[in-house]
Amino acid sequence: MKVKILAILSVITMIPALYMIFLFAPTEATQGNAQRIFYIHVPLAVVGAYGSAIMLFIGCLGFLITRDLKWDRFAACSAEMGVVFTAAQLLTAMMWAKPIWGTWYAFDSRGTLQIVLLLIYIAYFMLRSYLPDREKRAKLCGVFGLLGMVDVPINYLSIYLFRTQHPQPVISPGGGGVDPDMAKTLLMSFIAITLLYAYVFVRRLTIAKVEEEVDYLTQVALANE
Amino acid sequence: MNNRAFTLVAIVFFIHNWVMSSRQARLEKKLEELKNQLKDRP
Repeated sequence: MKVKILAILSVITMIPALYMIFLFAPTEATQGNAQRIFYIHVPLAVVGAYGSAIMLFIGCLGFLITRDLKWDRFAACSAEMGVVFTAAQLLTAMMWAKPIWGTWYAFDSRGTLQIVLLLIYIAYFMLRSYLPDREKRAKLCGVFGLLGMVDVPINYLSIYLFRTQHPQPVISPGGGGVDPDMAKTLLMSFIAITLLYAYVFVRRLTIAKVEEEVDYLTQVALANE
Repeated sequence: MNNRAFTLVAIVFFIHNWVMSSRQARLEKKLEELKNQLKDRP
């Protein structure tokens, strides 16, 4: 039921968000229409990539403190969201970079650290698949998840710390701000992407519970043979 | 380029959703089979 409500809300908010991105928001003077990618790229990065990192951190910390396996499940689902949303965000970055920079990818600090974040999420899953024992897997992945999050603050601050080709802050601290109509469009995109994230996450969490039930019953069935 | 970017994002989420749906269907079927298997046992 919760999943269905989130799916409906996600679709309902995505329609006005797309309308605002393509028709309502003014065209940016220097970048032209390519700038419209910004409205989906920024929410995907903030909610998807960084949000997943924070949730992964909470899940790993939660498990290491309480030893409750539900936190491990939470962390694994967050990492999966991280892979999907960060990959989507990197694709939008490349589609923007080609017309603006003239290349699909420039080895600047923000872009590289974002790829490192994606690789950390993937490495988390590789580690999970190598460890069959549930408790041991949760413990080691918990530690790895915490260590992996070192990338996130460096990633966020990279545009302040290093010389980079990535656009300088616009809406974050020290930024010049945007036109009010652009701000409204960005806000609508944030709402739509947050609801999409919530829908996909809750759905994945539901599947993870079924997976555990199947694993448990398989063990019971094998023990009874 | 805009259209391609938005289409690519939509494709990423569509594929992920499709993979999740098939995984869920497979697991629910297996769960049902396991429950029946255990129910039949003395």
